[in-house]
Amino acid sequence: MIFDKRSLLLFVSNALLLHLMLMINSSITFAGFNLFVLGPIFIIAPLYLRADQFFITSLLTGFWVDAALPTPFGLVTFLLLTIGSFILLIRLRFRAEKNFHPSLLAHVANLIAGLTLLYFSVSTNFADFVVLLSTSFIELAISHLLLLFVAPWFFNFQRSLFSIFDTKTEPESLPFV
Amino acid sequence: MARIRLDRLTPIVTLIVFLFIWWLTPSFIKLFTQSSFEEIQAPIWIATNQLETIANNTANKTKSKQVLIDTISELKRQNAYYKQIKNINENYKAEISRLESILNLPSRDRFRYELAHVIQRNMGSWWQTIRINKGSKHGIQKGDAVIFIGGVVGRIAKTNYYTSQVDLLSNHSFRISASFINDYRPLFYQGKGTDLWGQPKGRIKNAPQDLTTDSAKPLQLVTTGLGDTFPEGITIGLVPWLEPDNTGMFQAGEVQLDKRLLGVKEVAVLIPFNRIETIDHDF
Repeated sequence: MIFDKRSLLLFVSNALLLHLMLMINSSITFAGFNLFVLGPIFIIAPLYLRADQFFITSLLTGFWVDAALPTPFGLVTFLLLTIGSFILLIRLRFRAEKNFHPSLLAHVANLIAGLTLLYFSVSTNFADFVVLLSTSFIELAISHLLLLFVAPWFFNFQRSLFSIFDTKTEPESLPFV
Repeated sequence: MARIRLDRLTPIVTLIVFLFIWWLTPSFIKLFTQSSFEEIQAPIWIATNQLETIANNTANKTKSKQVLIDTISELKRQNAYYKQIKNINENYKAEISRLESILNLPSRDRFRYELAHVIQRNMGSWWQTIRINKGSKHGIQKGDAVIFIGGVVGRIAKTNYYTSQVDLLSNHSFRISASFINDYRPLFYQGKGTDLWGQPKGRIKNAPQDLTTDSAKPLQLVTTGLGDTFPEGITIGLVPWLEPDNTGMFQAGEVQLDKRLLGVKEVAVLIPFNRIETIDHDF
């Protein structure tokens, strides 16, 4: 297995997005809401990397996010691996070098991850989850509005990192693995 | 019939193998991984807080001298006032100690106060937690009480060497026995997150039937001291209305929490002098 430098670049950029999000959330507590824009961290690794490198990136990113967020340890890692594996299987259908498909995927991943973390934040009590879902609707809506701007910026940033560090800028050639 | 390309299933097979290995992995290895990542991140949170402090200081430098002089004058007045209160408190403490020694009573000083800065806040629908810049190095342990100027902040949920995570009063997992001020009958308090407008809130159950309250003069909810985590009489919030609960025997109601909880910057962790060691069953 030859180590792909892009794994490390993606991990660092994912950690950066997480810390930016947490910094903003920490500063806007007067508004009493959190932004959740972690969708983009799920996307570029399965679209660009080989399966083994995708697993390394997802594991590192997952453990990093799990340690930073008050979630059960391993939950985000599980989500990253599951959603990523699914994207990896069907990545032929997406145009990874443009922002349209990755942004759409980021919104779907963000929604799935947001709802899963919301469910686990109320100690898996379904009745509480339904009540919380209604109150968190505004937060989710604002997060997805913000994601319309954040996701394309983030994907361009990750592609720029590939160019700056002189790595392969195209997705891995077919076959997938 | 088209042939299935097995090599395409490699990611799924790898995922299943990983999940199986994760399931079999002993708890101490998971705990070690978690702790390692958390300890690596601790300096990042502290550095972020330092950057915020520098930014605030830079912003303060743009203020005019007159504003600073006015602020200093106001602080001097407050300082003189608090010095007087401190002297009065010291007299009270001396009197309490004298009476305790005469009556052979155990000391009421059960806690040491460890002051800490808030270095990160997560307050929304997903989480109701804060991170502080003191950890196990300073004697803080899971379950310790955290208070601020407005009353109860929450309880320590997790400690690292230099930092700790605090579950706020409005967190869904936060439960405590409470009572109304000047009424010693205990009732049950639980955090309820934030409402649609982002205000933190809680809920009480098992309130006695004879209590009445209204929004003009809401009842004040305080800690009971049961459980030995929080001392007695620390403010939790205000209860503007009560309604019969589903049993019909008691009342229930919503608790309005202090709005300053959203922007809390300084807290005090109550560390018991005589800590009873408990076994942590998390892992």
